[in-house]
Amino acid sequence: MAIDSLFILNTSGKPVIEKHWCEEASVRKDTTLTLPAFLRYLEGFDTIKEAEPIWYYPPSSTVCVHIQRNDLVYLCTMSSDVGPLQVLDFLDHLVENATEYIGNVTEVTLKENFIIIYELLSEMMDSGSPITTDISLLKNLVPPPNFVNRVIENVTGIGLDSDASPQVNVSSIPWRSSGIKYTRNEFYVDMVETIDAILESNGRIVSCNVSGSIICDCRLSGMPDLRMSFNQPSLLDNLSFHPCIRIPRWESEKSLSFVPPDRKFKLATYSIDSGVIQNGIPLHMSGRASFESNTCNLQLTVMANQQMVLKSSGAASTGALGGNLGSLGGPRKKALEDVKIELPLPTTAYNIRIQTKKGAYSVDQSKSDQTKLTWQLKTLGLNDNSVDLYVQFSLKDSTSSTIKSDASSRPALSAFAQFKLTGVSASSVKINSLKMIRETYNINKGVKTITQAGTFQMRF
Amino acid sequence: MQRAFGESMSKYLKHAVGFAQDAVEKSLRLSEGIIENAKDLGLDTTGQFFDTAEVKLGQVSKELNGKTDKEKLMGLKRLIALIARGQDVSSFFPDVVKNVASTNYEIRKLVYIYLLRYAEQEQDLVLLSINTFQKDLSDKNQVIRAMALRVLSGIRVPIIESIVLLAIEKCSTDPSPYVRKIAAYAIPKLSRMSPGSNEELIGIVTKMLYEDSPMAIGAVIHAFDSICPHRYDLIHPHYRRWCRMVIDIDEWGQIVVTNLLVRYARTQFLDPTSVKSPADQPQAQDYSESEDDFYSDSSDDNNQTSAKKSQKIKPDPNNDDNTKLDPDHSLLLDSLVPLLQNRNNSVVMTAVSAIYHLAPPYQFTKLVKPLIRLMKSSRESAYVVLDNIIEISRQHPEIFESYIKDFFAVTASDPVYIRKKKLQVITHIVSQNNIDVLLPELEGYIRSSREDLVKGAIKILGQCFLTIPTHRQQSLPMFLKLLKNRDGGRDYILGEVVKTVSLVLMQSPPAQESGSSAASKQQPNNDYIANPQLIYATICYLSRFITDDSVNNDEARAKYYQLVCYYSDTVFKPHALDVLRLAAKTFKDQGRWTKLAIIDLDAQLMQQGLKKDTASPEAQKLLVQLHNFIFTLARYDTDYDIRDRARFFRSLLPLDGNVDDEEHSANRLSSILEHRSGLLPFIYPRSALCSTKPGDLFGSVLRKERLGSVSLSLNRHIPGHIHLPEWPKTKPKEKVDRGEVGGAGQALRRGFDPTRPQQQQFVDPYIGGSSGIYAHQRQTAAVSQFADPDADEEDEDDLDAFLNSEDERPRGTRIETSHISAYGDNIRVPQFQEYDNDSTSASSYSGSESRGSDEDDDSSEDQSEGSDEDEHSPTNDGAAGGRGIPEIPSFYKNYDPIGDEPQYGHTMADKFALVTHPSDSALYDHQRLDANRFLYPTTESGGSDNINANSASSTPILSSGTSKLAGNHHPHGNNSDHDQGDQANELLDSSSIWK
Repeated sequence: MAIDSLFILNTSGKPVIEKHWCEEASVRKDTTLTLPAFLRYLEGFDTIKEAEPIWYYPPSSTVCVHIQRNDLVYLCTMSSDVGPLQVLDFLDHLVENATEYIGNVTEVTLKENFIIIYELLSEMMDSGSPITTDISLLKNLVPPPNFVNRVIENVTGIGLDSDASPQVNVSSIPWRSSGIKYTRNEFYVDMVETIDAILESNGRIVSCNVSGSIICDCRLSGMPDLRMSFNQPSLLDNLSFHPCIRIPRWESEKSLSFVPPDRKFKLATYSIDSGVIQNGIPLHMSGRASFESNTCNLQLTVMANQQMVLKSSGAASTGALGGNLGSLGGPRKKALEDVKIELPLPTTAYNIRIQTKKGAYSVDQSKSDQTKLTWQLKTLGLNDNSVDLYVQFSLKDSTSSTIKSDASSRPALSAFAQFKLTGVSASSVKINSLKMIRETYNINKGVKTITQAGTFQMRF
Repeated sequence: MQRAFGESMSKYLKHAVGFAQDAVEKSLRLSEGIIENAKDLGLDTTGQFFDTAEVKLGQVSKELNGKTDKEKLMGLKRLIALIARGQDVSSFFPDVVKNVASTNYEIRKLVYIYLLRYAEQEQDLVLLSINTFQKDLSDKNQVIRAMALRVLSGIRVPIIESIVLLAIEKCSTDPSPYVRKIAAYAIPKLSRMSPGSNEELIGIVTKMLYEDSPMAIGAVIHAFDSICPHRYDLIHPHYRRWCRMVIDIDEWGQIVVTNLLVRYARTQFLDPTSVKSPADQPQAQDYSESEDDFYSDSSDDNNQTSAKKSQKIKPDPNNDDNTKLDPDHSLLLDSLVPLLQNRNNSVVMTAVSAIYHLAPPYQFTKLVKPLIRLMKSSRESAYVVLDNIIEISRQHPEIFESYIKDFFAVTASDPVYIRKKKLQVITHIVSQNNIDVLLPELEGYIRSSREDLVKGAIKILGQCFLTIPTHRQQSLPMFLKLLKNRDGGRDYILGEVVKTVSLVLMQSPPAQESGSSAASKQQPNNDYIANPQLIYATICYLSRFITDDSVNNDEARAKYYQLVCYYSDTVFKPHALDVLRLAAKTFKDQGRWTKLAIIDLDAQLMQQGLKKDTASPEAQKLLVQLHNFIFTLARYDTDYDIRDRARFFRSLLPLDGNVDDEEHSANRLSSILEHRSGLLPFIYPRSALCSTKPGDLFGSVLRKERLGSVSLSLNRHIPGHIHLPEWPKTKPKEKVDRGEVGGAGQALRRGFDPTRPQQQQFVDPYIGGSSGIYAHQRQTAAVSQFADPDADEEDEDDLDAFLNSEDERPRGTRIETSHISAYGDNIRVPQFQEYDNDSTSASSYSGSESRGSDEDDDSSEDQSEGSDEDEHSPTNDGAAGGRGIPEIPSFYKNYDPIGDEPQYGHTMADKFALVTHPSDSALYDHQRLDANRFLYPTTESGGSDNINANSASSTPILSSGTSKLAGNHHPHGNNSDHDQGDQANELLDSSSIWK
């Protein structure tokens, strides 16, 4: 069971990097037979997104598994049965780790750092089976580049670290190596909650899911042992944990107990049962659509959830966290930020007229399969009560009788919103305290809460 | 004063801000300039290495032989860049291999990358580097040792087999778990390169199984899996330890270990399907304390079915403790639960698969949330996870019932393939409890402009119809509304509705024609699906759309003819011939699938009609004429499959069209029926029509592959897929020692105890000098002397235990047989696969066998042309008695659609048996009216056409007959069908061609 080859392809389908773990014969087969066939397969779709990620090519009896990130396609080929999720996960790890090493992974950065990618690949995978994907372990084996080093390398051709012997952490906590030292001990937590919701045109919530993740940035010396507790741990549902978390302790005490990895890591993810979302949704949307012969009138109303916005402004209270956890970020705005509404219109729409008092709008008709109306509001705060957008457009039709009064035959329209709200969580879950044992120094702690929209849809 | 100060202050601040902004801009420009300068000066940035590597290929050789590390590094980087771009640079091998002994770690890493890529092609030259690796194997740095072994084992040169073997043996006892891990990963590589060394390798692995570092154990079991995956006897002493350990292993190791433990458990323990949840067992169970969440609602159902199964399975009645789990079995299940919360998706999937294949059904509820979490992680993962959810929900829809909202398709962000799979899950999990949530959503889908979504929604509606009897009144209006909707841009809706309704009706159980014992026991049945009158009315209603050509969709028309064919001997018998007559008229204009379906309908009617007691001679005469007409057209069709199908049936129904000889041909047919009773049923066995056996209108079938495998996702067998062993039928007799459980209670997470000293860095061997390693080797050599005979003995003991389990058969044959049994149905009835859009397998039987019959039918050509005019002649002077009580067509006697299916066929049949809901009379009237109005449109324009005239004249009588039929509220019991038939006879009197 093994992955045969990996190809990283650019938008034009040319391999930027390829790596093979299989025998020479399979290498030939993959590069001359499977890869061209796969590219033809991709060409069959309007967008790469629509291509099924797992595809079988019978002539070479090869399974192709691919993901798409940042305009690059990562393709794995295999000729035996490997769990497809394993391959997808490996590719995700690869992208994640590469991002950690070289920043945003694009064709340009890949070309600049191909040596590092190659070294990473040879540590991450051995003869087609993933061996090490944990970033903290990899950093020991492949030293990450830094700017000074790169300059020296450019001048002298050889980096500083090239003589340093690599080490591997074989202790029982492989994610944290010993001897870490910081002059300023800091621990910052980002609680990011993403809301996926479907609203009806009258504003009623059809479905609403909140999924959160706890992302930590840990700069602590030595071997700290942390315990994080929440105000309402019972609300946290369907958790997944970083391996450092002691699951039995969570089961018994409902607090997260762990020895953190160094630097940035995702501690846990959770979801909130939609029945207990106490704060409601940050953005109210409602709309009305009316059809008269071939003309359609739309009215879209958006309004910020005043209570949540109010809370967000008052969220700087640090008392609950024992005075140590200060709030992060600059001065808070009492508003929803980055509000953007997208409204896909039928392709047959023409003569589009838009009217609004706030924000900027644009219509993108460049794509053949969709006309997209974008309404940029930027901020939506306490002062803006409700903001309206009026859209009028006509539909050209081959059969003029299509649009009838019959509700079932008119096109389904929906609007999608994006927003960000800092300082308040949709679930009202908060980190109550963060305690450290086994190390004596003081830590600077900080929690930042962000609520943002995932797929936030309103149907007319 | 203060105010002035404030003003000047703010002015000052403004200036300061402006100055700062300027500074930022300037510094940005400056840094950009520096980069530009650097480029001008011609310094190579790494990106240029990549792009110019080809141009500067000429200097690579010089660089590799250069004096400084810098030069060498440049040359190597150029080579790697070319490798990365897929170009062949193997010609530089001699230059590269010289640098293998470089003291520079950076250079060496690059050399290794190059070696691993090209060593296979340069087998002789690579031998030059072997010495270096051997030296490195004793390096003080564990990473260097590991890397040397990794390259040594990866270069695939058979000559060095013994060297690699020695190296693996040496490293397998290395003090560093990292090196041991790499040693374990080297084992499969060596085994693949030279299978002859397997014996020794098994010995090494056996010793390595005692590994207790969570870092290395995954690799060891990976090695075990690849060289001796079925030596479960070696697992016994480690089983409990691994169960405890699995939580601490690294994520890729967890997957491997879990998969092995699953296979082990499937050979050691009994099938847990009959195990009840602790709540159902009043007596306290010592092992059940940790199982606090379970699904008690479903356990009743499951227990009933599985109780039957387990009775069948267990030959030994004394062995009755299958109602509780073996403690070791539940130990494994408990230790798998925390894996569901892993951050790695594939670990979660592996744990889900393991629990699904090992646990009693009441534990399945805990799988739902993790699966939904995975589904939301990325669209690629969602693709895989949904495949698995489909499989689970097919068998256990109840556990997903309350999560239906999570499967609602989001048009904007979900690609088509995700939407399709989500809709398929909804088809499975829709039930009484969530239908109210679903219906508004479905209405939204139907309004959508996305074709796939609309079609999917219609399919779901069809499924609701089947599974939720009480819902039928609600969803029927939706269907009717859809049918009336003649939206110009979306004419596929009509076709999809016709298709779905046809499919739904064909999923109903065969209506009992004669008073068999089963029918007499049946309750008065007014239910929509099982009610013959309503089915009749619906088919009539659909006929309207077929006859006025408003359904353009080929598949939909084909499904309609299949439907007629399906009921041609029962409720729709009176008009089946008429349908065929109309079909014959337009045959040449039909699409491919429709033509095939018409041919099938013809064959089916021929088969029924030629039995002397079922049809009047006139009807038979017309039938034969139609048959000849259709088959002549089919014979000269441009489509290969249509010609082929016609030939196939002609050889089964060898009729030459001589009407006088009809008695003879009927006899011939009946003799065929007797002699080929094993063959003819396949013309239309009901279950073969319903490609969707366990209630899936999307046309997918149950898979037997294990969850999480690529074979499951792709719906095909991929080499290397290890089927799960079947549960042993009896408990393995002898007690096996499964090792120590380890410390009481849950081991501390990760073995990390804050009170213990925690720098558990393993000591590098150089501290003890090389003698340390030698000591290890001696020790292991001693062990190996004892270990091997030991293992053999255990193997023999275990053979008894496994003798009954299928697992001991060679892998290859097992896969083969299960493959066949899974597809058995399809292989036997190849022609029906075509309706599942599976055109690749459509021509699995060849037409060559009927060459002969081609020739003897030449004479029938002229006759068939004549019959085109002939068919309008009135044919209504036969005896009526013949058609009232048709006997059950012989193929129903021979072919039991339920019994003949693979074992999972029951579910659907069970569902149907329960479908006994009284139908609403209003709905029922509606149907009747529609049927009257639309069966034979009286207003058809082509009045001059004889066929139309004929059908028009028959309309009033037909419809009165229909209304009488429909109004007939007889219980669907013993004699109802006789009555029906007789009444119809009276009413249909003179105009019916069937008389």
